[in-house]
Amino acid sequence: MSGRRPNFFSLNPGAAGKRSVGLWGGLLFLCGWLTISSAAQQPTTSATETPVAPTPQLGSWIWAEKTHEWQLCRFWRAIDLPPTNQVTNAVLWVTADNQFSLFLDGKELGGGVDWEGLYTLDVTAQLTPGRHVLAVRALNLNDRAGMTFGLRIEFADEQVMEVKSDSDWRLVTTEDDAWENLTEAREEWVSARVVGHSGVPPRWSEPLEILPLSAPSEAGSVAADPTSVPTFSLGDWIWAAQMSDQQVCPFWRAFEIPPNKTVARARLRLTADNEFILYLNGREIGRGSEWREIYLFDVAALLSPGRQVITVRAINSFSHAGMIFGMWIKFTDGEVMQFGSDTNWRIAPADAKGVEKFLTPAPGWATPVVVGRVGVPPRWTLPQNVNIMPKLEPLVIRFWQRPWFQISILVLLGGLTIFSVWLLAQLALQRKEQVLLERERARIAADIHDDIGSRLTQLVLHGEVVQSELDGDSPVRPQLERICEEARQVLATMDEVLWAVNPARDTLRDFTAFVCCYAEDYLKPTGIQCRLEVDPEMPAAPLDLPLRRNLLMAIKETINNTVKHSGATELSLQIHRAGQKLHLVVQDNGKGFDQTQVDRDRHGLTNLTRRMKELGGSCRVISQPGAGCRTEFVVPLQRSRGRFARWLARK
Amino acid sequence: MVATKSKSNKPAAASAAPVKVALVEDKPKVRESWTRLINSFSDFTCVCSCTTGEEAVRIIPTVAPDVILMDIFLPRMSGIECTVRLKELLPQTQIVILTAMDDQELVFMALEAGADGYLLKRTKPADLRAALLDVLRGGAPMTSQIARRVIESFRRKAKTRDETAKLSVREEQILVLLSQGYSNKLIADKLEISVDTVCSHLKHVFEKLHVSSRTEAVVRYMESKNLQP
Repeated sequence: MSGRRPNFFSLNPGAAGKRSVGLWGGLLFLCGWLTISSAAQQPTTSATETPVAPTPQLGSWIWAEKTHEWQLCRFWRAIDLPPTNQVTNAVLWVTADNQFSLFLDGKELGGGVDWEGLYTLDVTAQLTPGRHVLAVRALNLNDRAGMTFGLRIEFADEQVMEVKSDSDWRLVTTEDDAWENLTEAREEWVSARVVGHSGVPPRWSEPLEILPLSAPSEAGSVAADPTSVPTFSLGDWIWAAQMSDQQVCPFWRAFEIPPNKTVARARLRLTADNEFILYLNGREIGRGSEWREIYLFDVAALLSPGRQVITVRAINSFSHAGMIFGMWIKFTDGEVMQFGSDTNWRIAPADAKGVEKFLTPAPGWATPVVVGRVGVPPRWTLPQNVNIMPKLEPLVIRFWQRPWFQISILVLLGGLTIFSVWLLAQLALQRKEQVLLERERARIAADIHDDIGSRLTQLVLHGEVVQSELDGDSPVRPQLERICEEARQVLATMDEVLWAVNPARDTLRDFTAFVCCYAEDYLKPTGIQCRLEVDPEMPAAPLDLPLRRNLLMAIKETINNTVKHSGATELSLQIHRAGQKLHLVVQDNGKGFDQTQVDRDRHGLTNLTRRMKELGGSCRVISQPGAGCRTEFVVPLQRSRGRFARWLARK
Repeated sequence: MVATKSKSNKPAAASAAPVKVALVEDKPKVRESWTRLINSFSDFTCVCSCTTGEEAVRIIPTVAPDVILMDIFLPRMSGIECTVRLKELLPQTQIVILTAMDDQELVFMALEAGADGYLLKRTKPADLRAALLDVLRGGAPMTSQIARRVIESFRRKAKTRDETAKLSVREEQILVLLSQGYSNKLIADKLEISVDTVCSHLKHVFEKLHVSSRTEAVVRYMESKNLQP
């Protein structure tokens, strides 16, 4: 058992030896008491009376002007009881953050180390008429500090006197040895400062436990009434029968929370010589490595009705070993359940895995032996400190943290990945097909051009040569001329076919050029003036063969309509690109028509509209009698999406 | 019949020595037909016919013809590249590209390369003669689409090239009107200038185009060659 820190009371800056002795006496008494009570007490579920909520009797939390770690504050208050009025009942409540000792008329009544607990004592006997001095010595270890006090005195004439912690209390600032005995406050003593109101967070609204303040007695002596002393629910020091250095002792204990009960408060105290790891229901909730201190856990949020399993994996470095444990649970109906470390625990083998997950002990598990009682040397008589561990919250396992969900997600992701790969493969195949198709188209175009085209050209040339060498009056001449003309027509048509087939012409720019040329050539013999309004920088963006072909057909049809029906003198062809859309407009200045009267089919309008719909575009005809006719085509240019959509649609 | 009609229109050309024409064409039959056709015009004479671009570059400068008829698809050295080379050697000689196909893209490339005009192989002899005479006169033929491509080409280069390769306001004006489908005659009316002036402006446009895009055209043609039929 190696120590690191001296006992806190001997560290008190102003604590003189004399006072320490007195205090030690009280503490020893308390420890002795604990020993007795723990020997007598077994883990029980005992109903206790619900005490009257003490908060109304308590005053504010008071402290000095400043707060710091390891700060000792001495509070002093005198009360004068009327000489004639008999005290029939007097009860006090007191606690301090973190520890305190209470004196009445210089005599120590006891102390506490758990600020969440409230200590109470009946002082009817002590309060005789005359002046009495209340003194509280409080120590703050860290963080917040404060002392709260309440005393209710009832007199024979039914008068009530209440003394609470407030700014009437004085802070002892002088180095008086027996300050708790002084019946008059010194002038230097300042008023205590109110640092918090009773029941207002961060301070508790209801004490964790109401504990009897241990009455002062001779060190080690047995108190008159065993049930009036706080035990902190602690059991005995227990360990395996065989003790050795570097020993691991996994303690195991299960208990049941009744199904219809709700836990209001639950405090778990333990320590082990030398170290421990604490598990509750399979979850590690804390560790400790100082055997002289108590570790206090608030486990209320972790307990629900049903079987609860506590595992303490204790490790002894060398020499003495031991583990001490106490569980105190208060249900909402006021019932209290408590148990400590005792022989009801089990010890799993040191190398056992997952002990904390066992709901029942395995058959071979050993029973611990009691190796020491609380407060009996060589172990501590009173813990040096109570470590209040951070409040524990139940682990909330969200649905996305559940295995089924994670597996589902993984499966889904896996499925998606496979689907994506498949899609990619399909797209690659599609792309390959596209490339092959383009190559094939290019080949066909080349074949037509090189073979049929050049031969026809030769034919025409030959015909022309023959014609030029004929006599001017030869009757064959006109016929030969007709043959040549016919062949020229075929070549012109072939040009158009080649343009459509040639993949190198799959661009917007080529399309535009082609359509413009077509319109000019077509309109030349008709006498209709052709006006072109084309975006100056028509990009070489791809334009699919079906789109190109259908658009060309549509425009041809529209221009043909104009020539046939409109009687126009001018035709304007407009091609503009707006974002991912291509706008084509054919407008004439002809006689127009009444849109409500006209037979749409006769004008090929139905056909046009259907054609545009197939391309995902639209077609609009605006005309009024005498105001010409305007035909608008809008088609989307996003080839890839269209292709993908088409491919998906095909599947 | 056609020939005599044309002759009567152009007495000046008829009285002078016949126009010397060189032909570059790889197919023998076509070559022969062309030669006979050209020779059938009284004011034209075919002085030389080459089968490849390499041969043309070697031989044609020695005969110094007035006009070269160039097939665009030639084995190895293309008609485009051959045009660039010959234009460097014989800047005064007019080069007319012959294509079997009416393909504006190819034509524009040829024009950029230095060609002064283009003809479809299936053109009627009368039109062929008229077009050749037009080219000799300096009246470069230009369709609306070619005009549009020329405008684009100059606008694209405007950011990088020097001032000499820029179009003048009038030139651009004429090109824009051309691209909107107006004929040379209509443009002349609209701008209140003579048709000859319009033609002369267009000739300047071609000269500027040649200066700025000759080599580029060859590269572009090579790039696109894989996809050409």
